[in-house]
Amino acid sequence: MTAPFEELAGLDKLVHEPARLAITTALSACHEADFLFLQRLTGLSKGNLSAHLGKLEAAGLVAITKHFAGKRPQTWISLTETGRQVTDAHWNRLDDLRRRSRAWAPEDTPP
Amino acid sequence: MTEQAKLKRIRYVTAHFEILQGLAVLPAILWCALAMGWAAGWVDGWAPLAGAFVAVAATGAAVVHYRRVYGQVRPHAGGTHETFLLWPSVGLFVVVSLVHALELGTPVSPEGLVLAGGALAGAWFQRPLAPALLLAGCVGAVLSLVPLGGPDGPHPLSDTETWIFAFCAGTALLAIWSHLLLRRTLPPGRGSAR
Repeated sequence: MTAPFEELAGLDKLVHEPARLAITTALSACHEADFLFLQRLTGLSKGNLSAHLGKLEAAGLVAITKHFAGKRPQTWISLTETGRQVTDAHWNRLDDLRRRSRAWAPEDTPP
Repeated sequence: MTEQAKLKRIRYVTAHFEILQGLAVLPAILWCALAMGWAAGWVDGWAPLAGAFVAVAATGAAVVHYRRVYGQVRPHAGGTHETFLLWPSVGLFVVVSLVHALELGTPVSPEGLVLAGGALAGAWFQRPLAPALLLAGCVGAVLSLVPLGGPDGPHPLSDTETWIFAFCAGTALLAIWSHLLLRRTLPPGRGSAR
């Protein structure tokens, strides 16, 4: 395996996992979103979404705040500054990899 | 649709979540169309008054529906999320008004052509909304170019009430498409309501 494919295999799996990539991508486009919106977006069950958010929170990529709106509990999720930087960097890396993999030809492979 | 295209759509829908809630905007647009119908003498005087109450109630119901079914998003402070369609629409409205003030009386409708041009330009800049804007723009352009008022004009689309009515029709189409875009990105039945 040669670059860019070696680099592809070395992508940060915490962010690159499809559901978590959808979550961080959506959160990068807004200030914060509630749990229901992210659940709709990802199609995950409550438990699965909570598990993914827990991993992102443990890594310091998202901040989760819970409060009541009347009698209804509300959970809001936002990207932390670190999360925003990591998401942007991940997207830049993906764009770069896509560009390089298009330009890649088999003859570039060393013997 | 590729994964990257899906993620781009997710980003677009999240950034413009509030403005894409088309069913919340639709009653106000339909009320404007009704008011233009009244101004043109097509409907009775009480219809816009009664329609105003229905429009306010329908907008309120739609806002509650979106909040319960699709959740909520707080946009970035100071972003262009709320005004990305507002200012181009206002600008377009002003340009059409200025063109209308010239009273050209041509067999084609300059007002309709400006509106159609605006919709087609919008399709270029707002790709996820392009199908609705393209449809509105193409239909508007064809209707404006066909001499519906006869070879000596004036074109019916050059009447104030008619072009405002056409503007409302295009905006209503855009609102419906926005709702469909939201539904496709956040399909009902996925996950479970809290």
